[in-house]
Amino acid sequence: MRLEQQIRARLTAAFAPVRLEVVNESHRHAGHAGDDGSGESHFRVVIAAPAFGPMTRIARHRAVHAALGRDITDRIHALALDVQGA
Amino acid sequence: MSDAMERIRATIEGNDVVLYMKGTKMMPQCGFSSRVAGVLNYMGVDFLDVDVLADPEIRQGIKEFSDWPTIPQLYVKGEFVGGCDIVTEMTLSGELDALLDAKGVAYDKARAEEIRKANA
Repeated sequence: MRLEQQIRARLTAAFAPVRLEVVNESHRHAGHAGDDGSGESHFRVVIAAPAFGPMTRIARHRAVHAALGRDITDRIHALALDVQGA
Repeated sequence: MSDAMERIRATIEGNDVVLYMKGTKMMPQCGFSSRVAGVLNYMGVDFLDVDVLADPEIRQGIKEFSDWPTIPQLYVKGEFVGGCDIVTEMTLSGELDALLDAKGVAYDKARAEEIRKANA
């Protein structure tokens, strides 16, 4: 499964989001620092779910990191996050 | 506690504002690090920049220190504030001003307002 689909699957399973956008922005960073040639180095995620409502900003990001797991967060160079309550 | 962890603790306890980043505040090596350093520079915040690319132990250690997988990481008075997205959101919402006020860290309020106006 492509990384983009793995990210989508894990976040959907963990948070049942009402809004989820996973955008692979790796092409915009081709040849820059952090581009490993995989085409799967830079991602942007916009997610909204009720579970995030009471959390602080840091807690929201930590929850997303935990749901993705080390195998994904260690693999990608950059993960831009916009996490909202719903 | 490992040597890297101990060095990180000493650094963030010994300096009011510390940014762990890729590159330096004058020569950032990554767009996300560049953005946070740029905001702090523009707001006139006196901060220590730690270049993780210059020290592999610190580069790995800082991720474990705050259980946070990405760089940059901003610390104010020993407390982890967040990475690029969180610092950007807090700058635009005024929460960063409030945090710096609460912690007694000097900055140029007018410059912070300029950033918000430019991004309104």
